[in-house]
Amino acid sequence: MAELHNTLRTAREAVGLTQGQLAETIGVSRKTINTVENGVFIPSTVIALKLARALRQPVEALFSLPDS
Amino acid sequence: MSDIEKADLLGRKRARIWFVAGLILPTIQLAYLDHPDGSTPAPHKLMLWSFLVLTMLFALWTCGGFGYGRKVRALVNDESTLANRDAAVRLGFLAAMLAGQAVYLIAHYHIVSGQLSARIIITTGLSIALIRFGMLEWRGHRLG
Repeated sequence: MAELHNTLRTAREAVGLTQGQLAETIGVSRKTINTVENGVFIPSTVIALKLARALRQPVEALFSLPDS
Repeated sequence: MSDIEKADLLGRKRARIWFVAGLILPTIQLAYLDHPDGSTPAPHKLMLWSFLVLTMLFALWTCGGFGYGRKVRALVNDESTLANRDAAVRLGFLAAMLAGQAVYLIAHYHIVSGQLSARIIITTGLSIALIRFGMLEWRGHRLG
């Protein structure tokens, strides 16, 4: 399975959102936020862009490949 | 309670239901429907078996969540749930194919009825898929 690093938890906590609040903002379940933060689930481009928009960060600041 | 909280609660409850349903299917078959002598089960048992299989297949295919409203259903059946369902169905398919191959080999030495063969293949594939789906969903809720 492909690996994708993410800084979602740090970015979310930096803006003071809970997993539930972030989930509500982008219209997914709390489990999805949870599994993305823990690297278990690799989100689609649409979810990644929604996360970036909600956290006001460029998507590449949230997600990166292991060797980049 | 917000929609997110409702979806979270439903998702946790449902993960356990998938897992238990995956265990119930072979258990019922062994305890109630098994006919080692090869005789045909009574019609009401055939109906019960068909009802169980079709219900579980429908639940797995649609992911359920009916009766909780459109928004909660969309949340609880979001991208990660569908990915888990797809992974579970893949494993269930593999299990069904292996069960079919095992039945094919066994039939070389023992007579296996068509009904029994179908039940073994369906039970194996569906049970494995349901159990795997429950496990993946439960893991998703437990992390964090």
